[in-house]
Amino acid sequence: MNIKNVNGKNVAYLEGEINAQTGAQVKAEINKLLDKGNVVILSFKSVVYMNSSGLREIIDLFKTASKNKKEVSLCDMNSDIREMFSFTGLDKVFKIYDTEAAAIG
Amino acid sequence: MGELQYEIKNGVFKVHINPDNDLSDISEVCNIVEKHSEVVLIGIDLYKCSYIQSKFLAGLIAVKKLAMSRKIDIELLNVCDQIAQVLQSTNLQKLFVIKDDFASYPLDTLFEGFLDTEKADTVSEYLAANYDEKIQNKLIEIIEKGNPLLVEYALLTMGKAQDHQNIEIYRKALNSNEANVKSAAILVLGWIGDTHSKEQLYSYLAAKEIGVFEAVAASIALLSDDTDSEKLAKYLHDKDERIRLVAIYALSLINDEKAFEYLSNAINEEKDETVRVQLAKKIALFKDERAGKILLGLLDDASIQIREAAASGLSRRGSGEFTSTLVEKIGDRDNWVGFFAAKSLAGIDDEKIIKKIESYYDKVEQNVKLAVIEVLGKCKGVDPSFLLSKLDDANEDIRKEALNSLNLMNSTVALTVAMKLYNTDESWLVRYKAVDIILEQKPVGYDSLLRGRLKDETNKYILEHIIGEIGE
Amino acid sequence: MLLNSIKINDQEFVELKDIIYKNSGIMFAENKKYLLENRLSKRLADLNFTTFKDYIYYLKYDIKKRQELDTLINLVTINETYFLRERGQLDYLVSNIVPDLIKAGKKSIKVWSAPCSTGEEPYSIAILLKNAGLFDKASIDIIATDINSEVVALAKKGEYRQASFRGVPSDFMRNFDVQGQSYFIKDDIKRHVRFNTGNITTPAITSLIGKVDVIFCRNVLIYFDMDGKQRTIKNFYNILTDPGYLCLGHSETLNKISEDFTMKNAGTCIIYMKKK
Repeated sequence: MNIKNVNGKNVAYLEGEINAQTGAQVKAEINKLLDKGNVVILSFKSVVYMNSSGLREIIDLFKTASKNKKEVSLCDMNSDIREMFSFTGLDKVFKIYDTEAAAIG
Repeated sequence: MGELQYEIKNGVFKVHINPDNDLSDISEVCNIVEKHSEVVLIGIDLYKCSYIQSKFLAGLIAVKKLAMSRKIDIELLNVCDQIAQVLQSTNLQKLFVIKDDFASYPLDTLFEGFLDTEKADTVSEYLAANYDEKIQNKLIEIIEKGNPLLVEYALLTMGKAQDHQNIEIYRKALNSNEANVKSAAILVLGWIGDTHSKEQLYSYLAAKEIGVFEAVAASIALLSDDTDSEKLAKYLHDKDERIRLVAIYALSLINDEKAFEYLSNAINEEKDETVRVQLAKKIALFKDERAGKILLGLLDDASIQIREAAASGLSRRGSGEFTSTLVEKIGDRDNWVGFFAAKSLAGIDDEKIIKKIESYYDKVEQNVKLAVIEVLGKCKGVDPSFLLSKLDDANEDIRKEALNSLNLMNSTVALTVAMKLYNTDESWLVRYKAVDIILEQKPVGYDSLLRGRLKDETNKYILEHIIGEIGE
Repeated sequence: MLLNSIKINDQEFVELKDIIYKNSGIMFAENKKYLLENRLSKRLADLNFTTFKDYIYYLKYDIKKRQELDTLINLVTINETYFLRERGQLDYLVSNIVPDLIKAGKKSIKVWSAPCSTGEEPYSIAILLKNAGLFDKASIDIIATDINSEVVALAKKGEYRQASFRGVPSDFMRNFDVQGQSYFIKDDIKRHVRFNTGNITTPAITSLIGKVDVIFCRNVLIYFDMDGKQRTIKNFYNILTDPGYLCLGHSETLNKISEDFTMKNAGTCIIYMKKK
């Protein structure tokens, strides 16, 4: 997973498949980033597959972040991935931006 | 003259206007902006105003001018209907971004926003983002009162705020007679991971509770462990096709090996076309290599809908090991299969295959031609002469698409072409794309190039696009 | 739940809104992108498309494009509404306008709801008029039209869900029969409303409607460009009797559109009156 700092905000580029295993890795790395900064943007641009176990890890990450008053937002999803969020209603839980630029603001 | 109420935080300068503020107060806004170089956004809150004097409007324009010269954004907040009418009749509404800012609302008034279709979601978002004990108590109070619309949004808001403390409230709401309340509770329990409620969700499936199917499927998937695919699989054979569809959704979300087995078996057994289409679409979402093979087989299905869904699924996955078959499918008798087949070939870098793709161009329908041009922009090592030859095609979409692909392939060449087409192409679609490319690369003198043609430009979308970027 | 999973980019947005404009007169403003995404994402997914560009090509190059254009216009013209929305003007109709017309000697009064969407507005009017006992004092017709044939069919059916009732008082529900999750408008309300399909921007609407005393046209002018607004208001002027009342949405105005009306403060809201 690549991480880039844009205007003081960390953008993490998730890749390939988000499942229980890769999701847990993402969670661990992002939690480390959130120890140091307040905002992390997850880019889904290169995510091709995702399942509910992976989604659960992302929810878990969000839960910890909101408890610590930190911000995790998501961006750049293809329509299949986005559909997983809207089907579960999670598109209303997360801040989801169309593009990375919009997420950075 | 009243006193000016304001605060500056994180570069946001928020002014709360009172009815007794007058022109001198609004001039004070300018003075404050002058003094604080850190300000990047001015928010003028009109929550307390029910009308506006024309002098005050003049003051607003002065603030706007100052903001523009300093490249500061400006927003008018909580504009009431009367003021909105005045702004519209004086054509001033275009100058300002007009928004709601719920921070100015007393809590009780704010909750009424749940009843307004257009506001409910944003109010809920605001409350979740600012969740505290006061908001929590108020939401619980609303749930106890029982107006179903309010309860639905109250539950969703608590779920968004990740309030795990009140899990019993959500569980209780599962038993509501109102479908919207029940659905909200089902979703929230999925979000917060209450596996304890899973059996109850299954009971809704078994009882075929109309109106909550989708939410049930979504939450079961979110709460799933490795036993759930099997439990859901039996619903793939339900008599009711709606239940079968819901099971397909849930299994595709769980997306484990067992789920794949069940779905791939189901597509051989399923008779209903709509359900088969959904199966084909969802199988495409599995990474399993066998998924690609199944879709490839479906390209020869008797149903045109299945063929198109399979081709679309393959195009999302990329062509991979099926490249040669997919190249041939560009010429399929169903032109939408050809369309998706062409799109699946993005990323190819083999010169021979690229030539083969190009060779189909003259034999296929317009939509497939467009897909061929689009995908060439996403392949590597393509000879640009093919795309360049399409820039004077009779069809505007072909020209536009060729320009777009050229830009993906070689942005320097595309810029030169775009600068020419902006001045010469008769189609606004093509000129719009050209403007896009020019604005993306912003070459030296791009603004005078764009401005140079403004007076001859007849298309309002292009005018708005250019003026929005470089000003009048 | 499957809303807005497909996003529209700038070029797609202008191309699609141009197609919609040319076929319906409705102009989507920049801030209405989300509306197109919400209303069309499911349709795109049904057609296997993942981008709006693909859909635009479908509208332009498929053999079934004519049919799809109708589907598109129907999908984008559905206006979500609810009973007693923007109630101030409805109350003013019942407490002032209709009683004044009766006092002036009018025996037959016509009220037009355009566009009527799924029928919540004309039925709200009928219910309030009935509660005030006004149907016994004059012959009052409520005419309701919409450009969208599908919503007109729904309105005629008169079946509603919970979402159509946002904060209505409980006695309002007396006018509905409840069956499971559905609320059916009762026949004694239904018979006061006449539904039709029609486009308010075209002159043909004037002969379809005839003369009316009051027009409700709320939250729709914002979707038209200046030309569409002016044509519509001209139609309204021709259709209205004297005195004639026009109710617009709370953020709409006739400024720069027409000089033929005067603005009137009506309690908490604004109403336009035809100039003599």
